[in-house]
Parts: sequence; structure tokens; C-alpha cells
Amino acid sequence: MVEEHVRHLSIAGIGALKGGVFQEATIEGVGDVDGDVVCTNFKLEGKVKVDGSVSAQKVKLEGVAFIGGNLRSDTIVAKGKLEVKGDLIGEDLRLDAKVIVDGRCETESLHATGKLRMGVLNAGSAHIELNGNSQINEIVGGQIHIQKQPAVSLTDWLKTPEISPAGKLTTQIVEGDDIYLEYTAAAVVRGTNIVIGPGCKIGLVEYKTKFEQDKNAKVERAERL
Amino acid sequence: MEEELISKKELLDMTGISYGQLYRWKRKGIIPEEWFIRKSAFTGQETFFPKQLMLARIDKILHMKDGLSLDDLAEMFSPTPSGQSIRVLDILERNIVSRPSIELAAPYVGQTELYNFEQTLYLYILDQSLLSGEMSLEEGPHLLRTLMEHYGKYEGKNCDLLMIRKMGLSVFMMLSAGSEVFFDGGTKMVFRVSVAKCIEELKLKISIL
Repeated sequence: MVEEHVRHLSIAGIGALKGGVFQEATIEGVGDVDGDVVCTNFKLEGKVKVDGSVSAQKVKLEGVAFIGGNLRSDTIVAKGKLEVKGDLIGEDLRLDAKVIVDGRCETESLHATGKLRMGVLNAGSAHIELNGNSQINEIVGGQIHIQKQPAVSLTDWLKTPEISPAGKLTTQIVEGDDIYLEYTAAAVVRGTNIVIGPGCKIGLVEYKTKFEQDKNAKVERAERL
Repeated sequence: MEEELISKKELLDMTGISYGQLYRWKRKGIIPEEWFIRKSAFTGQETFFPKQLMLARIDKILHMKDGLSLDDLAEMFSPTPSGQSIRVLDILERNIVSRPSIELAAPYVGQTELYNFEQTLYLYILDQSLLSGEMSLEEGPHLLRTLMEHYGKYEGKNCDLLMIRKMGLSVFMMLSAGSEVFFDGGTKMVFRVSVAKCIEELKLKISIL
């Protein structure tokens, strides 16, 4: 259905609508959208389930979002929980959420705090603060920085890394130019400059220029390429 | 396929590109997903690339980067046709497609002053196949019909056009890129062209217009 005038998708309260092409897509409350959504701005406050893909220029999510297909937007800001069955693709992603991506996550820049579960992350730069157990099978890109979320209370400071369960990442492979890792378990870490911080368990490190290792990190083997 | 492969390590050493560049190009679709070939090695998994294709592509990216943005390059290398139309006059003048091929195709593709990208692509593939000397003029319309009928179904995904011959009978078919095919004995594969590669060549030729 092609219509000449500008359409908006709007749900306030509880509602179910069909997808389509819109200027603004706003959901305040609980919404079900059946079909693909193409829009300029996608805004959620509450909960939404989209049976299809969303492609927008700006996406702002506060609450719980389930996207059955791909989520693609220049900027994506998410707070709460975001689950994407397909791929998550954007220029600039800011995720302060529990994020599950079944497919790939591709972005120029990623800032994430929280619990992540992804197949493959390919990012120009990725800055991840771990909170809870995260799993990303493959992390590749330029600058990759993974750290534990800075502790807030004194008791957190007193805990040793072994006891603290508060955040860790499990992955198969990390590959990039500049890599900094904390509390990460990986089979292989490969890159130009690699710093393995506290709490890491790495099978093999392959580096080109620089390699540093924290005394509270375990690296089975390190090789210069 | 029995192409020569190059490991990622060797590739980065040889070309001097960084991981960041490699993965940025992958994100942009300038290097297709299919070229990342995973093989298990003693360290777990290693990635390999088709050597010739990859080196040629990187060379192009590095040499064309001046003046062209990554998005321009992505557009050029993407397997989806561009939206532009091309004048028949320009096609002829630039030698993109020869006159006999255009004349041969006219009854099928339509006789206009302006071809869209897809039509130009069909003409280009027809012309290249005829120029290779392996296909006869009479077989040309079959090639065109195959492309016109089926190319759209791939929805921009990479595909190959294949021509086989047995006992003087020729058959055209289209396949997903990289898929393996096997034939009954006595069948000769005349050619297999990558449509994506033709698109790339064609975009390059058109971009100079």
C-alpha cells in the first residue's frame, strides 16, 4: 500500500498494528506490530514485539523490544532488554541493556553496558562494560575494549576476581588492531596491540606489536606473529 | 572449488592492511561474506580467502580510495544492480557492448534509447559470452531469456550463469554463487560466469561515463 501523505505509526496504551512505511513510529505502552517497519524515527517506551524487520534512521528503545527480523538504523539507543532474531546493524549503537542477537551485530561504534549474547560482533570500535555473563562467539574489528563495569560499592572492591561473579565474557575468538580485555575467557585472541587484563583466561594470544598481561590473567600460550 | 587460498595472516602481512580495515570492508560489503572461508586448524578455526580475488579486490580498494568514499566503493562492489539508466549511445561509444550484440538483443530486451542497469547487464553478459567465441549467435537469445526470467529471483544475491553442452545441445542455467554442480558424462561445461563480477566490471565501466 503506497500512500502519498506522510503516515505515522502510533500506539498509546495497548494495541496491535500492521507494519508499513512511516515517518514516526511511536509506541508508548504495549504494542504488537505485524510485518516490517520502515520509518525515520522508531521510539519505544514500554514493550513491543515486531514480527518482521525494523529499518529506521534513529531508534530509541526504553523497555522491552523483540524484533523478529533484522534491526537496522543509523543510531540505536536501547535501555532495558532488546532481542533481535536476525541481524543488528547500525552506525552508532548505545546499549545499556540485556541484548540478545541471534545473527550478526555490525556497527562502526558500539558502547554497551550489560549482558550481551551475540553470534558475531563486527565493530569499528567496541567498548563493552560487562555486567552479568555475556557470550559473543566472535568479536572482530578495529578497537576492542572489554572491561568489567566499574564497581560502585566498597564490598565490590574487596572481592577478588575469582570470587566475583559479577561480569564475565565468554568467546571463541577476539581479533582486532587494539585489544584490551578483562574477565574474558577466549580460545584465541589475535591482533596488533593486545593487553590481557585481570580475570582473563586465554588459550592462545597472537600479537604483532605489543603484548601485555596482567598478573591475574591466565594465558596458556602467546606468540608473536 | 580448487582455487588457491590465502590465510588471513599471510594476507595481512602481504598487503599491510589492518584487522580494522579488513573488517570495516566486510561490514560495508566491499568484501563479500562468501570470501571468508573458515577451516579448522590446530589452533581452532582459521580464516582463508580466495587468493586472486582477494588480492585484486584489496588492490582496487587501496588504489581507488582517493576520491571515492567507502560507500561509493561499496556501491560499486555490491552484487545488487545500481538504479541508474544508461543511454544506448554511451554503451556503444564506450564499447561496453558491441553493436551486433545490441542488435541481437533488441527483439528480446526491447529497443529503446535508454537501458536500465539490469538490461545493460544482460547485454554485457551476452556480449562477453559471444566475444569469448564459445557461444554461437543462435544461442544468444536463450542466454538472454534465462537471465531475464530468472536473475530477478536472486534478489541481489550472488549468482552464476552456466552454459553446458551435450551432443550439440546447449542448456543455460543459473545457480547460487559458489555452489557445486556435477554433470553426466559427456557433458561439457562451456562457461560459468559470475554475475556479481560482471556487475562490478560494468559498474566500473559506467562510472567512467
